[in-house]
Amino acid sequence: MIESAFFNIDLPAYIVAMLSGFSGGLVGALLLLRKQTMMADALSHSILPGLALAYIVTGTMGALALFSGAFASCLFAGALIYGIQRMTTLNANMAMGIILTSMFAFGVILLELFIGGRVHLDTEHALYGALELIYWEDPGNFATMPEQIITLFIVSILVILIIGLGHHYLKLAMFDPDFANVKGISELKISAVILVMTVIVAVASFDAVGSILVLALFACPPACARMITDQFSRQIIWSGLIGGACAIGGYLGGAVLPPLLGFENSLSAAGSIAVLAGLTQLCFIVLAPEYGVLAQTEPKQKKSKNMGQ
Amino acid sequence: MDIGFNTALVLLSVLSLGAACGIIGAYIMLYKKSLVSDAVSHATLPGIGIGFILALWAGLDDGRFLPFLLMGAAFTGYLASRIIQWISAETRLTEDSAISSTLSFFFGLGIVFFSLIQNLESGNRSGLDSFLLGQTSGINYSDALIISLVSLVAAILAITLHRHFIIQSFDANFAKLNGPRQGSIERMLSILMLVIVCTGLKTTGAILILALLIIPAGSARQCSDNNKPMIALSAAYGVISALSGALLSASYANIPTGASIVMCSFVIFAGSLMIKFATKALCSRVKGPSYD
Amino acid sequence: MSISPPPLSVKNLEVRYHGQDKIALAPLSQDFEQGKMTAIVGPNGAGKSTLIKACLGLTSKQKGVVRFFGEPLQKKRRKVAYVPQRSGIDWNFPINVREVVQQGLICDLKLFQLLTPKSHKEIALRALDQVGLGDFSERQIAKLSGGQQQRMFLARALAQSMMQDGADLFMLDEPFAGVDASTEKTIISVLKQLSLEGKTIIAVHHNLQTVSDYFDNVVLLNTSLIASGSVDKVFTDEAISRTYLPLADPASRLAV
Repeated sequence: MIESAFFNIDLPAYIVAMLSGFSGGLVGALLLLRKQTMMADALSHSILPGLALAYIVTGTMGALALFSGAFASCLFAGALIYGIQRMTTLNANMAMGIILTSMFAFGVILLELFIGGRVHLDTEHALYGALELIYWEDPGNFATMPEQIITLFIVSILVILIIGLGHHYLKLAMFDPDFANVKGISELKISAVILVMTVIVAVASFDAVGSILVLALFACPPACARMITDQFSRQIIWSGLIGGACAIGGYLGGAVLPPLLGFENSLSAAGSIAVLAGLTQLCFIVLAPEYGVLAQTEPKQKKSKNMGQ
Repeated sequence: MDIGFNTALVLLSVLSLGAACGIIGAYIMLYKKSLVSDAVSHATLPGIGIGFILALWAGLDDGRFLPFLLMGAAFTGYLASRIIQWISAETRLTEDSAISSTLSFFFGLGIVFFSLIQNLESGNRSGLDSFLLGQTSGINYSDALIISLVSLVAAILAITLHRHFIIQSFDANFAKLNGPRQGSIERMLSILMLVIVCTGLKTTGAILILALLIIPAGSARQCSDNNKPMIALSAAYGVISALSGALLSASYANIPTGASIVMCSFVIFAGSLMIKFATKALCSRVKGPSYD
Repeated sequence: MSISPPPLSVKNLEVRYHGQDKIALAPLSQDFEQGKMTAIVGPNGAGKSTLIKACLGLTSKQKGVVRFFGEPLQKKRRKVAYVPQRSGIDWNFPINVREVVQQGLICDLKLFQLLTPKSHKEIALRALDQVGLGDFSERQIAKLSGGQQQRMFLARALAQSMMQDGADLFMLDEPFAGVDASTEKTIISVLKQLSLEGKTIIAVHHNLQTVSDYFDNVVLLNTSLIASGSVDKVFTDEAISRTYLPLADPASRLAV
């Protein structure tokens, strides 16, 4: 009985969580280096109206329709944010704040007015996903694999390919944008690529952790990686690995552990993932060997060489 | 429309909240700390959970004892703002990274607490759900009174500090040299922000209160290049957004109040942008291009 | 016989970079002469701005004693006017020129005083006239050119000197950086007028050519103090090349 529950429910959840954490960590590392982490928050909030409209327009919950709708509304949001910054004196943070709240509110209204509990798309889902509800009917049989796993798998491969193949360009654009521009790697192209990666990861992770907690995967693992290394590629890789680990650990701690310990119900999986990610970041901040708080407060042992940021 | 005394008081509370958020949000915008408010407001959630559990344990109101909930909210909200400051100052991480991770950690913690409470209460936590997206129908007489009073006091306090907020947010070094003890002015604003966020939790919810702090202020900035008119406009826009949003939410019971307030404020924002560009286009046609 | 204390007196002032052992300003002691115009001169990164900011308590990680007219800064705030570099200001801030200049008079207001006295507005307008910005008083600051922005901050300091018991010491950080020739003429004439009235001017200055024309005294700085004194005596080719020498042998820079 327990075994079957593991393969039907827990296994797919672990896989989805891990893939979300891994891809979120990878893309989050790029965002962190460009100081654009909050952009992930803005974009993930903008998914909601896209999903709602996709359902309203097509009447189905098909993965392709939902994904397209979400993708389109994220791009729309990105365009609005850019537009506000260009046309007004408001800065990026203000523009993001205005758009993320407006889009999310719009999505909530669409949900409540037109969808209202009829299908498996509601405000709770938007807030913290539904990792516990992913069900693999015939575990091991790829035909019945939940579409969340398929989508995330494709997205992860895409992200790995883009970052892997493009990491020289990304590195160049980040550390010497003028030179990169001369070489044809314009700031706009890089922004666009990173934005698209952020959107597809956020949309694919929506079922796992929802719109708000996906930020934990974009923000915390890269911060951990930043505390332990200065090298571009290492930050990205570590970020992905830590993200995947926190996601697995979070699900384990929140959804699996309580029943094992004798409690009747489990805790929110997405919430536990976010909590573990945050606690992990705290550990890294304090304990990291060279840049950690403890290492920095040792008085005479500080290295005097000037490490580049 | 028959407006009973209760409804009038609830509308007054919404009105005062809107004004206070418009004013305080405008100052936060000038300090460029708007996204910190995002993190602080999300961070109130675990505090609400803690307050609920403590109230339940003390046998108060089945846990839905507002003073405990709000004190918990203020506590974790304050904690979040200090953590963000600490991370930005003491580590190599930047502020946007600090804000994002703190926001998601605390929000996740809040969701975990809520799931815990749901298990305790066997599903009867609809009272707490309203703190996510807001619901004015859940506001009773005493709630409305507290919200109105606190909002008015916060708004008045903010206005009396207008000159200090302007000087410090415009030129921090100058403020340090010539103003009152450094840090106390900015701390005052942080406290006001925390207070107004907690006050607005029942009306707009934790997730969308940010909108009431940002959007009226952003709209007002489009309509004025001078700080005094801008603050006044921001208050007015806050009042209009909050009132229309609350009335909409009352008419369509399944729309959370927070969502309708945000949409109304966005309409005002879009409107102010359109007016700004229309007048610019009109003026340049009349005056000819300016070479300022 | 009482000698009035110097407008600015610095003893063993030292500043380090945040979080590192690297020195931004080596221990420095210097008295600045009352009623004179003193230039602080040195290559980029020499700590010139840091010196001004440290005196005003605007840097962290600083050691040493700084006295204004014999007292710590907190007791003499009214008497010290600071004209900062133009960077670091958000020029989209919703404020107009006159309001910025009026900020110079904030020491005259009580903590919770809501209304600004009419006299403040008049002083601000007078200061603006002196720097040639009389017509710009109600303009939002983004609509100013670089030179106009610099003059606006000078007007703020001027306003501070115009109030009762107002500023007697002006500290300016690169007042002539990036301004056109006519703005430079306006600024230096205002400063010279102030000097004639007995006020003390201390300015970080980047243009070696104009030091002897504009200033009475000079402080040569490259992380540590190289030389200081009157322009005639100290501003020699030899001292200048010592100041701007590349860091091959830092010890050789210091005079015997």
